[in-house]
Amino acid sequence: MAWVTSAMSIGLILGPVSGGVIYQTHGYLAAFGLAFAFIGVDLALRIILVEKKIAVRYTVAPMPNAEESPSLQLHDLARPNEARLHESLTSPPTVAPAHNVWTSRIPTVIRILKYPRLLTALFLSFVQALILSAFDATLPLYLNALFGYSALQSGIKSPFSH
Amino acid sequence: MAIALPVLFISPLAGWLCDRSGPKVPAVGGLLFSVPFLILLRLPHASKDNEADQVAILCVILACLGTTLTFVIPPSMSEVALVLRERGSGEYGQAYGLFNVAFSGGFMVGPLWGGYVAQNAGWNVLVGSLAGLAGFSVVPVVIWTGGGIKLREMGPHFRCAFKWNRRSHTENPE
Repeated sequence: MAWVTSAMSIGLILGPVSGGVIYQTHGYLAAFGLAFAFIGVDLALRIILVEKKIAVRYTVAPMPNAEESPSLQLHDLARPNEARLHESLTSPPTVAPAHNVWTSRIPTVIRILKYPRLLTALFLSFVQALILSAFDATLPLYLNALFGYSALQSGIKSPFSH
Repeated sequence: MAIALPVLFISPLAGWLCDRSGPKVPAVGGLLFSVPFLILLRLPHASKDNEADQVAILCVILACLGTTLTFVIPPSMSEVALVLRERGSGEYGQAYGLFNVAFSGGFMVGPLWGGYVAQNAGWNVLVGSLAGLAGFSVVPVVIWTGGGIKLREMGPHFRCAFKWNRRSHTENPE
């Protein structure tokens, strides 16, 4: 799971930098072209990916739902990273049992908000994104005021490029 | 890029630590250590004679800040999965939807906050306010992340996770 989050945060943070560089060097269309290319690759991978729910139909015995029992859950924790990564990539959309969603009259989105742990995690991500994006917006201007940097200069500024 | 580079290298390490010690340690550590670096960001100043020094100082502080903030990302995300797993509910899609709402909410508020404060009160106040925010958010993280203080047990991770799951199922079935 943590590998997924790492990959996602790398993408989120490298995105503006690479976008800025591509925009400066190859222009407006190239930046959008790259984005569309990535969407295309993503779509292809999603189509190729066989979901667990569908895969179960073709196995002899239905696979037990790993989220239901604590012992299986422990087994789940003990498995090697790759297996868990694969699991977390494939299973989240499929493990939601339909009755769980429909037995409660309150919408699930509201219902799961009552967990303080979840709220804290949401707040944590909010704070983290806020700090990062606050610098995204102000650091180039500040560098410009301080050292007279241009946008690209402050975009690619690193300990190595100076 | 001074922020982004350490993310590339430290992120897997942060994820490993998060898997190993639970989400509370890296989250609290990352937030606590980002406070001094945020405050230190006020140090670099414009000077004609030793500009390279100032830029180097700024880059080092930004790199440290990137490193500490990297330790905050994996816990906040895996915590969502851990909560749902602990409660036995499978609404991963909706929980991650909420997570995205919070994340992009931060990305929406951040530039506004940064712009307003930097323009009206100056850079020093901005980094001070961000440090205050990071320091303040340590409080709920210490209290709730990883299943509450009273349930927290350090020790071998797998045994700990099992005990902690069993207890939280029996003690507070919410």
